[in-house]
Amino acid sequence: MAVFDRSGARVDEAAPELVLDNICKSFDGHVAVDRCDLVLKRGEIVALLGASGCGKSTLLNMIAGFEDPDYGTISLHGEVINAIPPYRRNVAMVFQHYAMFPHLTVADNIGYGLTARRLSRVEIGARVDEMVALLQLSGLEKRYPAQLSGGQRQRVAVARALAVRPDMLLLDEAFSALDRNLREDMQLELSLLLRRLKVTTVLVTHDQREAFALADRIAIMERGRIAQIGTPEDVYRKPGSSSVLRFLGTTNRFTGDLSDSGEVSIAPGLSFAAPVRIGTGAVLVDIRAEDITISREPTALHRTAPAQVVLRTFLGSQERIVLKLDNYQVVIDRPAQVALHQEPLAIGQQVYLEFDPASCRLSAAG
Amino acid sequence: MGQRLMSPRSSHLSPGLPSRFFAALVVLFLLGPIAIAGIVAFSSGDRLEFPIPGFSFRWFAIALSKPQYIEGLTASVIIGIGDAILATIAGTGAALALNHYRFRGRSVVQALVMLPIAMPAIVLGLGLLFTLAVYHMQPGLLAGVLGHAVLGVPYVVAMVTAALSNYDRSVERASLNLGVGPVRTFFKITLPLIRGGVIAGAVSAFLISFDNISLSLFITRGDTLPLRLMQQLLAYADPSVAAISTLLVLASLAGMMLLLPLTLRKR
Amino acid sequence: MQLRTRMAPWLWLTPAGALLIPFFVIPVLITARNSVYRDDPMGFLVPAFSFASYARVLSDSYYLGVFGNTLVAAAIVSSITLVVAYPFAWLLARSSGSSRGFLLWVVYLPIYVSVIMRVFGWMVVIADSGMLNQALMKIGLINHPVRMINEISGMIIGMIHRYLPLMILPLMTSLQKVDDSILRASSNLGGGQWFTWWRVVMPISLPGAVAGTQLVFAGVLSDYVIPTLLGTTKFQLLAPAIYYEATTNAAWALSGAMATIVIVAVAAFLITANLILKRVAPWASV
Repeated sequence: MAVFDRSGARVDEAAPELVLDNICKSFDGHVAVDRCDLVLKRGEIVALLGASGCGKSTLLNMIAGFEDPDYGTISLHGEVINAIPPYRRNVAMVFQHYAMFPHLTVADNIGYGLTARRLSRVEIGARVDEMVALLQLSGLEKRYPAQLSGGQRQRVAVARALAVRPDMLLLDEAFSALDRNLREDMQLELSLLLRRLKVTTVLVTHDQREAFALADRIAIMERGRIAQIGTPEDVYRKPGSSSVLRFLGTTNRFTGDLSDSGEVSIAPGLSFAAPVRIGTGAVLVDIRAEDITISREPTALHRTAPAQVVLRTFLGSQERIVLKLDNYQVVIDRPAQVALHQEPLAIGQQVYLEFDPASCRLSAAG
Repeated sequence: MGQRLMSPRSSHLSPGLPSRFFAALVVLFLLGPIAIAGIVAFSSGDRLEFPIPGFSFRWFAIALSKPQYIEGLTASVIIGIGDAILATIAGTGAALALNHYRFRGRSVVQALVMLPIAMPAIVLGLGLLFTLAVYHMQPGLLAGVLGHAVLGVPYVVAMVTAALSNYDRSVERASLNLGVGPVRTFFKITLPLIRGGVIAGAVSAFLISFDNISLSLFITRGDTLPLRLMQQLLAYADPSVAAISTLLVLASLAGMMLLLPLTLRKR
Repeated sequence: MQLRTRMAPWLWLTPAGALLIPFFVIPVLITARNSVYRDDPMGFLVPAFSFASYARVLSDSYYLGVFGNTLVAAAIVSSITLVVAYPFAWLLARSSGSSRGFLLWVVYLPIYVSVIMRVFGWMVVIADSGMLNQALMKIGLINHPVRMINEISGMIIGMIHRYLPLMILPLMTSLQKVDDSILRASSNLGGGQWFTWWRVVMPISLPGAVAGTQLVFAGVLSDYVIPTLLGTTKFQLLAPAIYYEATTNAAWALSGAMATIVIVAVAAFLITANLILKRVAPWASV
């Protein structure tokens, strides 16, 4: 079966680039990484996405060789690299605060890995020039990191990593230090560059937008485990669990009661058929802000309930409405275009909620 | 270096056994003679010997009853306090000028203000000896205060500059914005906030002066305590020197304990 | 208002100026001036222009010897303290918490303790009947006590003890710039232990090493007490020599000449060191 990555290039599925097999790591009795498996194909970009403490950075550090797994093997090109020290693995890393060598110029920073690999002066010069052009750093070669802006430093960090032509690129929260507009521009630029160069990449981030912007596949990590892995659409539209759903996008959480007949009721007048049976009793219902719609009239369906508009915010491409339902504060996002064709909602106006039960996720209340 | 920069095997960057051993040796080297001198101060013997024959406070009593020590101590304290005050005033002003303003000649002033550290004190001492004659001054306490103050200025400047770099100038602007003039702003706002650095600088100036020999040789008449102690050691080395030095160490440690809460910035 | 802001820095500098100009700048100038006056054998300084003092200092083997001895001592003390301080400063820069507090305390303590007390401690240790000799004889390494006190060796040991903290502190400040992520970056890009040390740690620590050496040199040039109490008259050092000439001999022109030479040498050293540093480590002043 032929497999194509995002850029449309054909990728040899039979030769995985990176294999993590049953990786476990604990620090002082606390489990940081819990039986993680991961297979990357050549040229693929995978994001490890999760909140702080989920183990994503530890996993990345193990790939780089800065930590050793307690169990499990890491293989690159089919060869187990657990025993290889970091300076002999060809996996280049871009660090969160770039780790620029303050005493070297931009050119020397970029060429650093090449000097370690004993390339000739001429070769190093050529490679550095190539990277400078690729990352648009012309004119800055003789500057020192202290004289550069944050965005420029990030480019140098990327250039330095790519200069050694690594088997894999590792990005450790590489965009977190940039401000929003610059971040989005750089993410786009890097995404195009990595696809063009077909560099296999693992990136670690807590920022969903970054993961979505760059990755072919996203692995959501929670407490040391990979909770779900899939393409961005898969992970977003078909979250495997309540926690994955809550992690991505804006979610509303309701407490409800699941009866024997499979009905969940979360407020007077609001109940629906449970999409999945998870026993009976108290449950938590999670549903995304964009999966709830508003109607001005009650429908005959039993899963609508009246709510009052509390706040309306214009967010550019979207409109956010906050409603008060029973004693919940419900957040609803809808495209601003929808609002354009209607009467604007007034504060205090009574409206009715509607949603598809299949789009919510249930979990047992604790 | 016996220590590995980074152990690829371990997940910490903690030092290995060889470097801990080395550090222990250095600590022993640095502390050893001081500890030994301290122990000798408590000797019950008549002369300088180690290990000490017995434990006694007699040398402390002897030291405190020696007029040359007491005079020396008094002189050193007076000079120390005097020059600490002068150095602090001069150094704080200079640090503020250098930190807050960009002006022509700034780098020259900066070099000048820090120069007394790089300049061997012996040269300064000699120069002051010559200059005192020109000013019709005699070597003594006043000369000591002035000379040691010069020596202390760079330390004050360094400490106050460090304190200034850690503090946010917008509070000064807020003060001016609310109608308080620059001089009052300095005393009400700036000074309290850099208090830690100023005190650290004053203490440094005091300590530098207290222990100074090369300068005091020229500008005092053998008045200061270190000079008196040195004279004693040249004449006949006995534990009284250790005793009074130990007393001073204890006193300065006690002083540090008292001043510590002041140097900690209250937020 | 314009005048006020322009005058402001100078107003703040007034106390410093009032102190430094008459008691620092002028003394240096007067020293230079005295050095070109003539010493009258009666012990007076005669304001007649003469280079006789310089001629004497630069040709007489005794005075040249004094300069030479002091420079040699300074070089020895600087190199030894540099080698000893380096791993210690590295450890200190990377330590934290209570061990860092303890190590810093150990480094700062000698500054709080009088130099006399420290010298006294060494006198006890290295005297003929002192601790070190007793221990060595007990072990059986030597049969007779080794003369260290009032010898060059004793003086060097005392100086190393005195100036080691002065070398540790600037080195530590420099080495603190080498944080974990930079070491990891170097390793990640292919640099092993030695490569990383040579290419990253050492260059970054260079300004600290230079600063430390400057402080040690200045210290040794000025040191009166250690050569006097632990050293020997056979190996004369600069500070006692200058003091002797200025006070006992009242040879103000001669001592002035020696001091002026020291000023020029120190200035030259500072300027060259900074120029070299600017060349080799331009990033440090960026």
